[in-house]
Amino acid sequence: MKRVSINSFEMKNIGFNYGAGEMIFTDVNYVFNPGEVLFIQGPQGAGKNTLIKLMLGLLSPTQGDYLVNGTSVNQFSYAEFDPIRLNIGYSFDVGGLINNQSLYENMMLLLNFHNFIEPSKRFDHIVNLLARFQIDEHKHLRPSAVSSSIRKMAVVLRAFLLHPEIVILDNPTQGISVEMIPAFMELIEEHRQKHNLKHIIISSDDKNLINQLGGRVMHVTRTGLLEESRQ
Amino acid sequence: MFTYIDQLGKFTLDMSRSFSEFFRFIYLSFRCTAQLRLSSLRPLLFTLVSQIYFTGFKALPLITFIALASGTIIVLQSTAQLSILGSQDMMGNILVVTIVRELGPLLTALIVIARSGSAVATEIGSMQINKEIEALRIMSIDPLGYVVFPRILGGIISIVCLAFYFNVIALIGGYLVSNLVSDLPFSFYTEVLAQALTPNDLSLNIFKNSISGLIIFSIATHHGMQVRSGPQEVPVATTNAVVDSIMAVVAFNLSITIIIFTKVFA
Repeated sequence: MKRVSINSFEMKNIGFNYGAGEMIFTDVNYVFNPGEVLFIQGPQGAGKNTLIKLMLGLLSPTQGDYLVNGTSVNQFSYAEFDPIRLNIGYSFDVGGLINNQSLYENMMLLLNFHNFIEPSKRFDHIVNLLARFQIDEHKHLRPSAVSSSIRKMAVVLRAFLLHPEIVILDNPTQGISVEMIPAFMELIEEHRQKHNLKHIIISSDDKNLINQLGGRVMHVTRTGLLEESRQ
Repeated sequence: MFTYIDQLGKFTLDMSRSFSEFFRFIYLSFRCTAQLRLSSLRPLLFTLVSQIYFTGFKALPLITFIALASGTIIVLQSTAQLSILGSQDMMGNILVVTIVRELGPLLTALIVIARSGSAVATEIGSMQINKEIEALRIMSIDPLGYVVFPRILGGIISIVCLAFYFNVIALIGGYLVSNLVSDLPFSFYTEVLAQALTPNDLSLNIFKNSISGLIIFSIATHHGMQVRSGPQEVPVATTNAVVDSIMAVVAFNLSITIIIFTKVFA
């Protein structure tokens, strides 16, 4: 399957509710500018995860338009969204690794399933990435056998494996050891410069991370996204 | 009066909705796998092989024990009853009908439900809770192709092989064990068995087991995938998978027996 390059990425008056329940949020308007870092914040239950799932094409908005390259993808099926989704890397806050596979197998699954990187280069690609965070010695261990910090880092690294144009990271620095932060910053910078990483969307309250990466901080509220200064 | 009719109508609608959703689930898992590129099938092969290992190979000790016990009981009882009637040459027919056509497929299916159907529902339910299924979807790996299909196919292959093994152990092992307490000649035993056993019996055995495998693992994976909100749903999914599988497999085996019986004796 081929990937679609994401040149523009926009949410217009997006609203969402699960089933017949109350709207979680309405009127989310945002144009994702290339090169921008966007921090999403909000209290528990404000709809941060729902907004992320909408971006990933796992949910369809109840109202409004989600536009990718100027085309509304609201009615796209899961399979129709695949070419776009393959250019989005996502890391979970908690969980998300296949428990009966080692860290290496978890990462290799993504590379084997989507043929974007040559088979002969896959092993080195994974090991080099893990080595930058000094967790390559744990590569043959299963998620339950390593510390939560290593698990978290492995999930974050998996989001970068296919060199996506968009990364969406859910609390990427929470729970990872402090020594890994500089390597994490380098990784983001390298992907921005060499691998065409256009959009970075991070759900996090980590002030150090916000200061280091810069970018806009938006709060998810019931009536849309509000910039921090307007809160 | 209207309340009962309303309830009946609601029940019928709910049932038809559940059935159509279930058959759509099976169809989509097969379709999604058929659409995969050849290179994407490699990761599925790992899941398929481990499913066959856990459902098939690991079940051999239990199948051996149950097959030996049931084979011994049937050989001993049929020898005793038929010698009273003086028609021991009917023994082959009785063994083929009870073991190969009826008991083998049913007992194997029940063992597989208890061991593997429950395990698959629990495993997939836990994968839902740990966000493994969601992670696959986000990586554009459809869980219907990567998680569900190899488990259904692995289950079918395993149950067909296990049922064949059950028949062999029940027929041969049953004779050997019962020979300790009776003096049935082996040549006579194999001769009546060979006369009674036809290719149709083996075809029926394979057909019954294939469909039972499809039923068991479709139900188990479907219930596992229904887990949504929390770990408390996992044991409920497991119990529902076991109960629904037992009812469906028994009903299926019974239907086939009735169809064949009415066809033969019509």
